[in-house]
Amino acid sequence: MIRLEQVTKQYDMGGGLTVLHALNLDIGDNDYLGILGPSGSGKSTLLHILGLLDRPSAGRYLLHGRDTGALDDSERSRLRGRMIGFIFQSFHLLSSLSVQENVELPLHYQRVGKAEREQRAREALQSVSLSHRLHHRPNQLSGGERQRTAIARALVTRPDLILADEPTGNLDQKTGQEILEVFDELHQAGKAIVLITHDPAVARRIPRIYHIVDGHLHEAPP
Amino acid sequence: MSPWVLDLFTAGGRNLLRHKLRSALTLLGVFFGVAAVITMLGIGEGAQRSVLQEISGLGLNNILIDSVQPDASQLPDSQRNTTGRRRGMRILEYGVTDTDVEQLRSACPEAEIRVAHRVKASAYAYGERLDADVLGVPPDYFTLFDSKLIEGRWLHPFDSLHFRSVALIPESLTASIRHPRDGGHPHVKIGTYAFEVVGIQRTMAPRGNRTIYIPFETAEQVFGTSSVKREAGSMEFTRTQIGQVVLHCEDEQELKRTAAVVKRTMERNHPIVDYALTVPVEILEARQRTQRILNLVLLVIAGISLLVGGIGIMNIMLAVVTERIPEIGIRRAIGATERDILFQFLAETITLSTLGGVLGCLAGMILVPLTEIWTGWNGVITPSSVIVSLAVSWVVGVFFGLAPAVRASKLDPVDALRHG
Ligand SMILES: Nc1ncnc2c1ncn2[C@@H]1O[C@H](COP(=O)(O)OP(=O)(O)O)[C@@H](O)[C@H]1O
Ligand SMILES: [Mg+2]
Repeated sequence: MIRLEQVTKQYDMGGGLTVLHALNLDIGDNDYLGILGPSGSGKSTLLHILGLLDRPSAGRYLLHGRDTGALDDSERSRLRGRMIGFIFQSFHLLSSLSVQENVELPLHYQRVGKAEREQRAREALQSVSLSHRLHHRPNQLSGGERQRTAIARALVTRPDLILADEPTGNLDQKTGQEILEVFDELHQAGKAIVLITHDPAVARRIPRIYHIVDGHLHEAPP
Repeated sequence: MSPWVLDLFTAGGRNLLRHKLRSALTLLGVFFGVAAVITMLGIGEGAQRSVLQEISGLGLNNILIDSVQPDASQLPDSQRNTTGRRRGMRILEYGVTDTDVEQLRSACPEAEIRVAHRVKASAYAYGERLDADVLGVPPDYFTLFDSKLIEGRWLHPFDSLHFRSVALIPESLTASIRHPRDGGHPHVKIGTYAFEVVGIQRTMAPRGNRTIYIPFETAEQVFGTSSVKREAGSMEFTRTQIGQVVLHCEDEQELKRTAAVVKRTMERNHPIVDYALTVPVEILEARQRTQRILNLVLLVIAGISLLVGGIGIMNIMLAVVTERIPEIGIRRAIGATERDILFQFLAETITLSTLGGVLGCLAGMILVPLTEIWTGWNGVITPSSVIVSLAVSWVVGVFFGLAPAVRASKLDPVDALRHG
């Protein structure tokens, strides 16, 4: 589904900082891969490139065989909205909206009608066992519930690829395990997942692991 | 409106409601601006209408020439009036002459011409002096002005033919005249002569609400063209051949041409200005010119307050964008395009400014009648001024909302997400 060819990312501040060095990576339709690395190693940067939020400084990013480098903002945004679901460490929910409205939000940007939005948001929330929290505000939820809301928001567009940036980073051990179980289910349901973590305990549950070291990607032996 | 646009404005409105005080303060500028626009347009329009009404009453197709006693200082020595002390008494002759009228008749064959005779005697009713002029007019005099008969009848050609002593009084004098004791017609005394009041009129003719009209021929025969004014030991003899001439042209071009001819003729015949020429159309045009300038000034002032209001909105919205950078990042991550973000903030600003505009309109609708009460000026709120104000407030929203919205939309999504 995704192929990175010689993807490089550098920030040109005083001398130039190269975060990613000519990465090559293939992600299949139902791959579940974990990316490990210390803080500041470029994990989030890689994830943002995969999620079409950021552009590589050099190299090619092919999505379903299509070079994304040539796409303009609205095409990239539309692809991102349809095919990719983001999940963040700090949940990134909109505090002014209810749980259900947060989950509906991506569908707004796909111009989905109100009735269908509500229906699909309820389904997504049901799949993460949050049907009883539809009209709560995010700040009325526990961390685990917030992250499940965020997962529901990522799922509501029925994306091919889930990108999770340290999704358990703000959660206690037990809640983190529950969230990881949700990821396992998603994987079984056929989604491709890229999960970033610096926690080896989390990495142990993931079938395919890469390490980022000095901007290079190394596949860990299974 | 597509449901998407509706969603956009609903969301915008909800966001504004979450910060009620801030939103209220933000829209205050537009509110005052639009209230000012509405009020100023209203008063400007009202002034315009009252000018139009006042002047068109004189008849926009008319040209009026009135005899006016010239200022003594303007007269050559031979004509200078003499008081009783200096024995050599002369008659002061002034005003429009028969010759003028003859010349005008031949120079302006298309114009209808009415000649009126100004009677210098005072009018009395039941021993009380009336505050009214007396004018001898032909029966068709009133067709040239916006006139209405309230009671009785108009003057009739027979009145002139038989030199009848009949009078038409203005509505304003009704109270001082009507004493229906014996059921007969009421009378007024003009000089020493009794006149039967045959009708009550309301006319827009000059000073029409303070003028008693009698038949032209009667006026000429009874009162003549000379008059004597006695005042505390002094006597003043004056003679005026014609009190007033009215020229009427149906055609606008014809009127302009006639006005020029009249001006030329009168200037030539009267080196000493002893007449007053009134061309209502010209007055109207002049007044409308000043009115337009005044309106422009008022609009500039209103425009400045709208500008200030708009800048206020822009300022707040720029702060709002900064405050909501993380939100923008989130929205971008779940599929919002640059344009989605742009429209989101634009919708919010437009909602704000339009709300300010609507409230300002309502305030203006209250303010205009209040101004009317305070100042006595007329105010008119036309649908067009409401539409203009609302459109302007909308434009202010778009114009001043654009910069913050563009800034929001151009934020780098990654930077926005990392923010805070
Ligand atoms: N906009 C930027 N300008 C300069 N350097 C940046 C920028 N964004 C990230 N970086 C740098 O890139 C490196 C990788 O960051 P990041 O991908 O967030 O690491 P991780 O997620 O692995 O902790 C860091 O050293 C960070 O300081
Ligand atoms: Mg990171």
